[in-house]
Amino acid sequence: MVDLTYWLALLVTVLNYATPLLIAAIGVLIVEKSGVLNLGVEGMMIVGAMVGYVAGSYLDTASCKLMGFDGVTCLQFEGSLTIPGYIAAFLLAGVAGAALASLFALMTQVFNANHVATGLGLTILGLTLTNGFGPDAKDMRVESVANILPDAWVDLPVIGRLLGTDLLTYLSFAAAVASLYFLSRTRLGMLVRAAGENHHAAHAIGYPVRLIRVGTILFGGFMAGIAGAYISLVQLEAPTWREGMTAGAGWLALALILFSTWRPLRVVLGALLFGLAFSLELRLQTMGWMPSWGVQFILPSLPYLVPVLVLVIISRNSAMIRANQPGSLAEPFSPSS
Amino acid sequence: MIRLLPAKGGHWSGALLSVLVATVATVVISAILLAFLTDKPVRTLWELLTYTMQGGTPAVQWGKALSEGFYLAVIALGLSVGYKAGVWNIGAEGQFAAGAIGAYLTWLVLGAPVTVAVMPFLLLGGVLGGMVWAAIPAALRAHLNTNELLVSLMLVYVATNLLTYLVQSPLQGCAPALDAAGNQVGCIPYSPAQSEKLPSVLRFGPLVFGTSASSGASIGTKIHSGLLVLGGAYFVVAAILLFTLIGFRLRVAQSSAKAERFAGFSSAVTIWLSFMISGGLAGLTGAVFLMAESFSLTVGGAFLSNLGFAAIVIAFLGRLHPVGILAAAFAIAYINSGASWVASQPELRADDSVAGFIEAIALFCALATAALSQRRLIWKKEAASHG
Repeated sequence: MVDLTYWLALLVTVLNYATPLLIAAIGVLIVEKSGVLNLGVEGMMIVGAMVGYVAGSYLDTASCKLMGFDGVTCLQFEGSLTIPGYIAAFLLAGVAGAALASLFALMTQVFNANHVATGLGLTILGLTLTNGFGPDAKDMRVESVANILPDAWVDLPVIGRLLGTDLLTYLSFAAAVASLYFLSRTRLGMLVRAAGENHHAAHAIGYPVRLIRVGTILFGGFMAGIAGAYISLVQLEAPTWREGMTAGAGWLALALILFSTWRPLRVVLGALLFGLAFSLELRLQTMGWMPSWGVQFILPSLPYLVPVLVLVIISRNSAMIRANQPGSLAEPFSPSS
Repeated sequence: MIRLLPAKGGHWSGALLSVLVATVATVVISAILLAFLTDKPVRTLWELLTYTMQGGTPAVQWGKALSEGFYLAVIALGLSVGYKAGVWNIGAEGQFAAGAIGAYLTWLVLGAPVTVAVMPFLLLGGVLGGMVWAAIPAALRAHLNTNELLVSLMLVYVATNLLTYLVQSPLQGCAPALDAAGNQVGCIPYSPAQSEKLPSVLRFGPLVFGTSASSGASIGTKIHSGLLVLGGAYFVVAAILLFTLIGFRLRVAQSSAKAERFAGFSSAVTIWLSFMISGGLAGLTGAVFLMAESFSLTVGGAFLSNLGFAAIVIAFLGRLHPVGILAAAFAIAYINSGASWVASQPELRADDSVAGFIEAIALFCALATAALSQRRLIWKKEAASHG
């Protein structure tokens, strides 16, 4: 007899950890397809996590008042996130991520700075920004995130918990499919790929390579910001803010793209795999048959060891990587040269 | 009039100009930012820049900048080797931790002796620890074609977990618990968890003493004998990079993979060399930090203070050149120490993130002006420029 409840609960945990990775990775995919390597994902995510959390805690009653209700009616929403507040918090987090990304765009597209160095700098800047303002956010509280589906569905036995996953989980999978469609079927997607494949050729036939890249960089920042806000607002039992709470998720998103060899549907597969590595820690901890070094050292390291392992396996086949890697990835480009 | 012409391979006048523009831009942007972050921007900036003359004795204040500068410079020098050759080791933070662990384990393996004679072995253990940790991304890159940037970074998290595990389980130190009669009946683990401290003969002591600002008593500064070890290592490695064949082969690798093969150097050797130098230097720094400042291993988050990540910034600020790195490391360490001094002054109400901001601003200014160093500055009369 298969214990359905157990496996569904595991799936819910996996989806919970996979969602922010998937959202950030779709951003990274589009950015890299346009020929830009932005290693600042971790920095943009942590800024998104902080902005999302702070916005969420201020918007609890503000969004209610904006809709025209009086203060007394709105008091019932204090400490809980309403749907408009939820949407606004995520949008603000995305804008914060894009704002940080605009600095990267300025550096790499206007000053032609080295992509790797600038991206690393962006990550360090993001961590610094949140270390500076982080403490101010600590005494705020947000108690619950609005549920999107009707309560009756979520209360269903067994399947209810799966349906009760956050709206963004559904949206992230939709976005993965949309990114596949965008890159392979739309004109703009073709332009993005052209800019990434050979920027000299794309420039020669009159495509605005730098403009396209600025656009994808901002999009990547927006997605990273939203992914960060998912971690602070949705991922844990209750919305929380902690310095450095993204704990390498931005780097995992970058690893996901290498794992996927720049193919959207394999990004989904990778996100689920990486999410599983996170959930295994929680699952295996309680089993009791592991030695202490396994529980205290190997299990907490699994989310980082599993990506290394899959990268090793994938990277052995260099033909597959070459087939899909954007030709101009990480090469600075200026129209005059 | 002054003109900027493209100069392939770089030119000293362009390099000088880029450093100048970057410095001025950093100062201006930092000053504007300080005006937003603090109530008294002018005084804050003044105290930050002259912090060695504020409070305490200059020796104590200088010690903070000097020790941090040495740590940053040595790690950054190692990283710069790989960065020149396109080998991205961004996991120095983990190799630093592995170095400290290596030094401590070496001491235990030798039977925990209490004699100065084992200090070189501890340092060697630190170098080996860092190299072992760096060997993982090196081997995966060189032989299995795996992205070394991500692997080295992932291993930072693994090293942090390893450190935490070690001090919470096998290496956890404890204070003796006594019963009413004063007999030892057991052991109470330290909280927060940490290992037993290294005996004092194995520690790098202060070379310079200053007077405490509060009590007037003589106290040791952070200018300790371990800095001589780091200074020596910096000098030797920098000399190797600048004046020997190994240094030349790494510079060749930087210019092109084709030239590298043509000169008879394989890229696998370049990868291994880069990682062993950077891992070894980060490990050595970790060992010195253990023997001079922390004395015991502590949980990952408490032991590591982002030196390995800050060193990445230093490497780029120093334009990957040994002399530049030394200058950048001490400049940033001075600003860091000044900023933490300013943050400790309640009447200035400055945030302790000031240092981080200035560091990031300096990095972006340096990167934005890097293209200038590929240009040549020339002075021409107006008429001549038409001809």
